[in-house]
Amino acid sequence: MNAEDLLRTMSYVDYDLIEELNISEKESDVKRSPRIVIIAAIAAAALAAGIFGINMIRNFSFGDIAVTEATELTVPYTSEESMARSMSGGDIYIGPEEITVGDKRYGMVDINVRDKYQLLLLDEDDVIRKEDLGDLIGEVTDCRDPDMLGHKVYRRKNATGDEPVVIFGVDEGEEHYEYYVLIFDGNDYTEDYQLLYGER
Amino acid sequence: MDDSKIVDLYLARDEMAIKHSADKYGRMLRSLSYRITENQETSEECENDTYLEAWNLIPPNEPRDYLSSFLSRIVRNISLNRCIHDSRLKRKGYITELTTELEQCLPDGGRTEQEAESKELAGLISDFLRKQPKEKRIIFMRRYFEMEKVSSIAQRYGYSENRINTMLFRMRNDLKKELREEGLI
Repeated sequence: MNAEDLLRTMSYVDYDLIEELNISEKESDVKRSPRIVIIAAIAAAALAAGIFGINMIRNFSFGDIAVTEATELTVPYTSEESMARSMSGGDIYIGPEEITVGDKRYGMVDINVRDKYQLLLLDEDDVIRKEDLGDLIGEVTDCRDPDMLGHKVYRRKNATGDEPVVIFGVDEGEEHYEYYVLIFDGNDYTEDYQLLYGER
Repeated sequence: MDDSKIVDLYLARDEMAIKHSADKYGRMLRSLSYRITENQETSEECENDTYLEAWNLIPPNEPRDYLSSFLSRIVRNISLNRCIHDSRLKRKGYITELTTELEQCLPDGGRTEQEAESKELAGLISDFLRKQPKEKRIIFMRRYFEMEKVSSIAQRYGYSENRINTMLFRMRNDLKKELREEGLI
């Protein structure tokens, strides 16, 4: 059996799984993803307050990969626009996540720079370069997304000035590497952080 | 019309079975076929072929409780075959992309030493999928049953494409382990 046979074999998964898929298709026709609504609501509320902006994460880069490319959204935008951007694959994706590393709790902003992101996936040597990594802080021990569990978390090397403390989340899988920008609880951006996670 | 009554029409060799199937599931079937073939005309042909195949398969089958899944399976098979064999369709590249991903579930070289029965393998894949959280299970099905693009899945769920890729990557690895443990690869 080769992979093409395996693709054909997928036709013969049990009917209840296909039924579940068909039902979810109908549901998604009429219902937006709650996650998107949550993201848009948080972003809209924060932007409306005029406090949270992309500026706080605009002035740094990962080696040659400039996150500043993602900062077109510094101009306030409406919730509808932000949602449309997210729904269309997103120039920037703001995910309300919290993770626990050691005994500390972090908020996380996941930046998805459309073309650059593909670059990240394609050229893994450029994704998380060893020389970009600072101290190992620990491993993720709690997160709503179980896929994050066990990720090693590093401080960005030589983080200085008004640059927020940036931590890389590294998925040490064979093909995929991920990075996350975490806003460290307790730094100068605490106010933004608390706004973003106002319910804490 | 209730699925059971539609099946009764097939069993009675009443051609209204096809009309009612088309009324109720035509859009879904065309949509699934279009996702695979990316060709409007072909997807309509596949839909029609699906009714003919259903006509031939009922009886002996009586899919009273799973008619939509029954038809989905048929249209997927027909559409996939059209993609693979019809050189007019420019979907070879996409099929290659999907098979390249699925090769990860097979041993190096992409072939099992001993050919497993497709249905037995499908049963194992079904068991594997049932152990997954619902969201992941559906995402896997969207990718490898409906052959939906990662960008479309990401859009649907409000996740980044990377997250979907990573989720699928991990599931393929887990599936490979499962198949190996069961001695199928």
